[in-house]
Amino acid sequence: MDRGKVVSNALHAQQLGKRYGAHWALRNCNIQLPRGCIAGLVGNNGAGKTTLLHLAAGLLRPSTGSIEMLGTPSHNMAMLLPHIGFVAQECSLYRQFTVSETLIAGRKLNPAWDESLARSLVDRFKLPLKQTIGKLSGGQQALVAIIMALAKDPELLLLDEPFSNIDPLAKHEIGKVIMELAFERSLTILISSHVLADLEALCDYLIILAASQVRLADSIEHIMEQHKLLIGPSESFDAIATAYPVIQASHTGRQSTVLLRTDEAVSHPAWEQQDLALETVVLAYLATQESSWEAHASSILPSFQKEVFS
Amino acid sequence: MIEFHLEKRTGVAPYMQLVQQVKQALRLGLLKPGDQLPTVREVVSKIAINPNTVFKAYRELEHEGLVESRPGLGTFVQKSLANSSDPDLQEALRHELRRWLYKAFEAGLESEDITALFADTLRQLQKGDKPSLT
Amino acid sequence: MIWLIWRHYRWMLVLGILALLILMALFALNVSTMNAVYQQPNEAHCLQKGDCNLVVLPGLTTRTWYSLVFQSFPLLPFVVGIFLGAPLLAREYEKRTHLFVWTQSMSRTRWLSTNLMLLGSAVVLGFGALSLVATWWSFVQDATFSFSPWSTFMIRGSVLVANVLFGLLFGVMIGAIVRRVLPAMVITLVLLIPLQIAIWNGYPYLFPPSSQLEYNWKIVHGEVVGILNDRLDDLILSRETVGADGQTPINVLDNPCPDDKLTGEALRQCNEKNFHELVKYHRFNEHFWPLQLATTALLLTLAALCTGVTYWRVRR
Repeated sequence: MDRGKVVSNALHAQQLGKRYGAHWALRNCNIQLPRGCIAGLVGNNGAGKTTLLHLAAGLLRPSTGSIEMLGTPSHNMAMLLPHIGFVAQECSLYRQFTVSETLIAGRKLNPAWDESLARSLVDRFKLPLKQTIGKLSGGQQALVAIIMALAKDPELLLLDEPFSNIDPLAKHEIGKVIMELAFERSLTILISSHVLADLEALCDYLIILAASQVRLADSIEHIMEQHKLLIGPSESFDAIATAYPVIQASHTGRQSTVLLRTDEAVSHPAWEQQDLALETVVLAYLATQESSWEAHASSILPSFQKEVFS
Repeated sequence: MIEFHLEKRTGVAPYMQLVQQVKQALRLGLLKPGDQLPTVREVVSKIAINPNTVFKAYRELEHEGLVESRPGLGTFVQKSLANSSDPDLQEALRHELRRWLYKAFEAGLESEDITALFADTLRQLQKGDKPSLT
Repeated sequence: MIWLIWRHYRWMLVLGILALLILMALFALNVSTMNAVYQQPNEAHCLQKGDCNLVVLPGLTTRTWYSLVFQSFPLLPFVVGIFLGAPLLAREYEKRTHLFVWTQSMSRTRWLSTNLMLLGSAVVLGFGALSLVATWWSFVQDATFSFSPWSTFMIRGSVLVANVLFGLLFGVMIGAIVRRVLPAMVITLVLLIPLQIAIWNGYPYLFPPSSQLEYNWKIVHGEVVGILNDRLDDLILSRETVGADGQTPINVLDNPCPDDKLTGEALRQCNEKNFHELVKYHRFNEHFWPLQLATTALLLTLAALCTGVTYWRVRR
């Protein structure tokens, strides 16, 4: 699968870290995002999602490690900027500009600006061209910001919590637009959210961040194949726990529920496999305590990460 | 033309939901052989879903022989799932089922117990356990 | 990009051009009023005394115009630094619009360079034109008014333009460091005050002064003769008493003519030989332009330093 980092990865972070004084906003971040995938970035508030996106957009410099976008290292940002679309979490447009002036700014600042796409999207969402950005609703502001990022025809699209503060209808509309363009233009997209439900239908790749570290970064298909939820008697829990890596376990009375990560089929007679939802996996990784995470780290690292370290 | 919709938070993967909705439509006769499934682009513009998910669902249906993708033209229904079995056989099955249900009620099972027992057994069957004939 | 800068500053540009035209017109009016005096023999007597106060417009005389200019022009670097320089970067950071404008297709350093070039050029052109007219006026004013021409040194010639440019870039630097508009404006104001005071007081030391012995007084035969007033067009840097060689300062303790050992004629002759007044000064006609050049160079160097710090801060 890993045909060569330069060609196949839209984003490649190696031991990426960002520090503010004594506090690490992001640490030990190793991610290889394949081109063309639509990746979700989930984690609680303060987990480091915005930091990672800002590093990918060239708004921050790494404190340690490195990050490459589309095969180009981040210190060569001038070359990358025309190919990256970024939408910040809060409205970062000029509030005193009208919608049409904002579009003009996009046209003037971006050589690859697609004016017809911008216009068609503005029409589709019935955005008032003569209204100033400051007077638009939160959802409309988010739409304009996303239109600005899409109309510069990027190869990599970075969206920082685009669905927070907007109503469900607008969320759905935004989702549709992004998926259509992803399909037409083979975009690579990285969307962050602290609500998995908003992302689940849209993404085929998932990055889970907790406490400033990457807990999991893999395609959703592979995640679902690799994780198994089993219910069984607590007395034979140890047998399972020593045979397979346990992500999360809960015990009530004589019964235990355990989430495992393994490629093999689990064929213990007393343990029965349950249907597993993606949300369960995500919650388990978000809840894992720091110490137990490190204990499992060596068994959980996917094989390609092992290549990076060796 | 079928219209898809996605239910979030059901624990059923999005692609599986699409597959199930196509099969349901086939079963009910809403889709007949020769009908065209919506293009990926059409699906994506109606519901906010990852295009790869649609590809995957259509591939799965093709793998099961239910649809056929013709390059440049689209994806078309090949087989019908409408119940083609003998109506008499169906009636006999229904009769046997009613008798089994009487037995279950007499044994003291409630409707929910019956549903749980049925679902569990069905799931085991689908996983490949051979039904014991004893 | 030019469109973007135009869109941000269009009102300021319009107002600035308007203000510039009005000021230039007023300066020109003052000059023509003053020049007219030379043709009028009955009014010309005020020239000799150097206290002409001519009416330029109803409500405006040459003297009131002078004090207006004298009091307001030193504030120009502050105005430009606070209202144009400080908000440039601070506003982008505070409103978070840098997240938008620095992720278009242009790097942040190119964005900064374009902004500084355009704003700097506008400042240089606008204040250059203003300075041309103001300097022309001030030379005419020197002849009709009896204040020292040095009092307007900092607000004429290239120094005015360089000082405003420095104010601008200083404000930009503070905005880059502080990253909030109102605090940046306040801190620019507060820090520019001592800097401006230092430059206003320190510029005479940027060029070697002329020196003259016996500037104001001369001791002949033990008598002080000829106390002269300071010349108006001289800027006095220092006054010292020096010894026989004309250079070594006299320490009161090493009095070479102790008047308890010498008396009478001997004392007089000793005084004459050993006490000299040494005054260091800049004469306007000789040193005005060299000092302007030196001060301009200093201000441009400071401006360049501020720009360097700004770029360093902006690069995260």
